[in-house]
Amino acid sequence: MIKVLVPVEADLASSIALRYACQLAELIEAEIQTINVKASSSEEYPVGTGWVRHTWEKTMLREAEDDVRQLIRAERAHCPTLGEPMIMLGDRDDEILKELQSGSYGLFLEGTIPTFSSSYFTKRLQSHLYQTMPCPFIMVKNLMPLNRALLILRDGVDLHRLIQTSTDTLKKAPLPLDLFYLKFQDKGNGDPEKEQLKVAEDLLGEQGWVVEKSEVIYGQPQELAERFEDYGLLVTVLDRSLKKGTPLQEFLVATLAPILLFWQ
Amino acid sequence: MRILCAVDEKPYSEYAIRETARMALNTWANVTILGVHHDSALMKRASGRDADLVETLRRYRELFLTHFQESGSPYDTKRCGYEFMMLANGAWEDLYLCRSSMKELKVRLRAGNMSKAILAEAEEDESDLIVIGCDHDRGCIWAHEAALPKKVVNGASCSALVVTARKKIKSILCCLDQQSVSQETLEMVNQMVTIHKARLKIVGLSKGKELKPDVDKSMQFILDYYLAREITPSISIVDTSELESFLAQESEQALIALVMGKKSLLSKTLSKKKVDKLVEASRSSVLILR
Repeated sequence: MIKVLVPVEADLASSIALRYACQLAELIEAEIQTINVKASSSEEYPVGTGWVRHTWEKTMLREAEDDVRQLIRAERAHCPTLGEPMIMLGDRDDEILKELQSGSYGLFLEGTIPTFSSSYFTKRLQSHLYQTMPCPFIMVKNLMPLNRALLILRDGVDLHRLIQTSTDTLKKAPLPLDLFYLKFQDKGNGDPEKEQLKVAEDLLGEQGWVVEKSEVIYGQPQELAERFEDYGLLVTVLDRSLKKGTPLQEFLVATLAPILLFWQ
Repeated sequence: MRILCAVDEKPYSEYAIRETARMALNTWANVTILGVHHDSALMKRASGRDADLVETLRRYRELFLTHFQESGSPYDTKRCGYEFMMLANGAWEDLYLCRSSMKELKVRLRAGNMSKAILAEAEEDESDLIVIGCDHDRGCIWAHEAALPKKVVNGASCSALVVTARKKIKSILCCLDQQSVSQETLEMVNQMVTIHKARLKIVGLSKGKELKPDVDKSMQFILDYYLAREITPSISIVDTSELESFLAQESEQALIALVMGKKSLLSKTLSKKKVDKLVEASRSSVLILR
């Protein structure tokens, strides 16, 4: 069983993330743990001491609990296995990271509604939480039906790590799988890429996965992102130093499908 | 629902008729096909009508009705025949009865200032939606009154759809910012998605980094509304400062649907001039929902 941590607030992004997590739990054996962290920074709230602060914190926690429980109750209609949320006070990302490090989670899943400007997605990937993420993570941009996954190969990808981590995370999910080698640049003859695809297919086969489509795909980031909009999950491995303005970054920003990522 | 399809004799109007028929096929709306002529003296002349336009309007009526041949038309005119009817004394009599159509299909003609004529007809007919085509190759214009589409879109108190024959609509981009979006609006977008078998993209407007809580809630409601109808929309957030460039990019392929309430952020962000520019430059259809 894989343990999945899902941060929740009473908002749309969380609702989408929860529903997607529930779709995932129907495919693989998963335990979904939700977490809500209420900010307690002195910028937002008055700082008190002793029982004043203690009482104020308890009130904050109760309020957060009410909002989040309401959301969980609503989503339980679609996902009866959803458990009780963890409610904490503190810095959101710090508390989530602590929980990820101490709770032996196999997957982190967060709702990230796409913005026209690329800055939010990129900043999120560059945040301390994501940069030090101890497990693979899914950024759920939209609530797509989880009925087909696409494994993305590119130049410079550690193939073994990509296959191993993907199959460890998705276990033996009954999920049709395609395997594409993306080329954002000029067309070549595609032979080295086809060889890589063959190796990847064999590695996946060893793990019990059957690839339905395997191709080298050429195109611009925006165009490819639109082409893959129907996938319920895109999977790839990233370098921590993903730079703004690179084709891969542009592709990841533009895609509307949920993405399973992990660091190379 | 009442749809007013405003036409002239140009090919773009034929496409507007086809689009109206497709919508009517799904909604069984009451439809008025309004032919407009630029010559105000036309109606006063002895014949009272422009022969070419009259012929075109009759052709449009037939074109509209061809969409209903397979499914049984709610616009069938009087159907007469014998039917047994119960009389007051409890007996039955085989009476010759004529039943009128279930839904109205009116074909009308107005002349003079064309945009004003369309807007006046929409007011009088209490239309919910005005559909017009336009010549997109020349910046969405009409033959005898170039700015007519823009005037209609900005002047109408009801929703307006400017259609283009250019491309197949792959997606419908619905842009909203209001706390309460009406059922009619959602249903109209639903119809467009169904008619075009298109993907639905919902765009929420933000001012600054965060989505306003009321817009966030509204989008949750809309997401649930469409999911319940087995439509899976994708959702994006656009900052108001980037809206124009976003729409310009999307209008290459998507039908743009703008939900413009009187006090909405969208109305404040998109001035009439900007809406004009969008209608003019869009390579796809534009739907203004009110």
